[in-house]
Amino acid sequence: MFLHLMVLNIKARMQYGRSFIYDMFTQIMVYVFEILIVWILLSRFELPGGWGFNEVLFLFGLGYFARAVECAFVWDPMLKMSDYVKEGTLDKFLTAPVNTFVYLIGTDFSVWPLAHVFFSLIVTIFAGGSIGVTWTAANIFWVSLAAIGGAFIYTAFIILGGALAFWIIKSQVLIWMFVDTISLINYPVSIYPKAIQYILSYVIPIALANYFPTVFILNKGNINSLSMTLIFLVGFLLFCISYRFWWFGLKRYQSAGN
Amino acid sequence: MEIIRVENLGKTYKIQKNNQGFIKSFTSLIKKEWEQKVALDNINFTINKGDIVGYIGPNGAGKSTTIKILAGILHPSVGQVLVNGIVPYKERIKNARRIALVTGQRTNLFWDLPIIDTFNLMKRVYKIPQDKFKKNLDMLTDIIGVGEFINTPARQLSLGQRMRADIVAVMLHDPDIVYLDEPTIGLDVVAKDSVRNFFKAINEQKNTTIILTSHDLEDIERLCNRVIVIDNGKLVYSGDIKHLMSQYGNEICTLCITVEDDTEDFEIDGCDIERNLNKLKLKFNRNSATPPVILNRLLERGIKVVDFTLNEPCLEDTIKVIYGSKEVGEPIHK
Repeated sequence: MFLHLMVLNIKARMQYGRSFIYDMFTQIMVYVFEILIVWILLSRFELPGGWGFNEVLFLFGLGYFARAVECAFVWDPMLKMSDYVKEGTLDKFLTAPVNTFVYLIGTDFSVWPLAHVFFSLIVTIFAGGSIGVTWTAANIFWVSLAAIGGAFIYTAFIILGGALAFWIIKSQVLIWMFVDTISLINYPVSIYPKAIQYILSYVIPIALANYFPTVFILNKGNINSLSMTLIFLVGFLLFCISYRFWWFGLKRYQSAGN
Repeated sequence: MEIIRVENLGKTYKIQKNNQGFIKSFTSLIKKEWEQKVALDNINFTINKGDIVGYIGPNGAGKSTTIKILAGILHPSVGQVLVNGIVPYKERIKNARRIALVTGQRTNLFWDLPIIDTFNLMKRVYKIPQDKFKKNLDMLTDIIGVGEFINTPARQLSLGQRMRADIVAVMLHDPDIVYLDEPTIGLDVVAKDSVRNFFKAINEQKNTTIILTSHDLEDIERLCNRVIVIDNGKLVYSGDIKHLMSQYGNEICTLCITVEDDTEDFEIDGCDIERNLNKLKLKFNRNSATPPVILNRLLERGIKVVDFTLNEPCLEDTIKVIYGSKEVGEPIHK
């Protein structure tokens, strides 16, 4: 059913062929400008720890991959959760004999972030090439594992934000706040004060999505393949928790009403 | 055969107190005050298979709350509900396979896609076998006529067409029970008629149970063989329409007369008279007076009647009486 919904959404988007292409183009331009800002900054200032432009670009690509995957699947529905709760539009999903969560996120599946997914992959691979990463099977496997883990982590936090709509109606603010915080990982977390490093690694462990895999692939520190597995597991676990939390919120909505 | 049983159903919402005043709106940020709002209070009724039941009440009476509980969307605070032998809010998914919910103001259709795509999605969501899907789609298309715009995107449809498409989408899986929440809202006369006829036909062909809430009482009069009236969360009446009318409606008949300009004020026993220049409204109880008697009285007094019309009670007036009775604190009959 989820695949069916995905196909329907893509088909729906294609109905506006030209606007679809403009959409993709705008998204990629946004992306290009963000990279440009990184480039300008890095050509003026030097980062400690031997982080050059290409290294940061690699980091950037991985971070964007996590974000793009999250955007495709849960961004729209979770941002809309507030409206769903406020207007009672969840009824449609609750009266269908299928998994409510899957039906909801399938219905709101977004097509435009797919441009980000592809573009971030290209950027990552290109940046990897220019810093001399050798793409052995093992390297590809470990980085992919961590990248998927990172996407899970990102997704989990957006779902948590969306689920909060069951308690506080205006939960979008929290989601936007989270996204703003996350732009910190466009740079290696090692440049930040210890406290922020700590937060980004353990509290909102979004640095797991790009910083640690980059350190791993560049052999910059004490990070091994076990860490990559751990990132995946942490991501998966967080995702499961957020998923449960969403259902918990739904239960509350059903018994309290609105 | 009984299909829905509702026992001692009650639902209480906890809502935040709306603080008035500038300073209070700040203190409420820290210390929230809650108050209990009773949406449903001790509701009891049963519905038999194949019934078409009108569920009526003023805005905020608790109609939607009841429907949501029956559809498994909300949990009740107290009481028991059985639909098709299962408790809907405990086995929501199982319940969902056998019901359909149509809400007039909302659409389930994919906005940008031909409606046939939504139908195909429903086929997958409800796991409808291909032959049954084909048969039902043909039959539904036949009755309600969506055939000519089946390949049109929902956004290009008129409200009436969209409503019809929405109805087909939720009826494809042969639900036993259909909950209709304001299905004809905003539709023109022809579209309203086609929606009504559709449900009448479905009820006859498939013995589908239909529960209908509507503010358009013509929907209720045309379709339903039974009505349940709630007001302020309490059950006011449950039974057939005729009985409801005789219980409440007989009490008010309105005779509108136009008299000559210079007529003086007068009174007639058992008649409530409202006067606006030379137009008079005489409200009277059918049990204590009849129109000929009143007209005779007028003639006896030498009042020259230029024109008159008689309004017999209709369901709408009956409902007005019921809704109105709570304001003056009259006891509610059952």
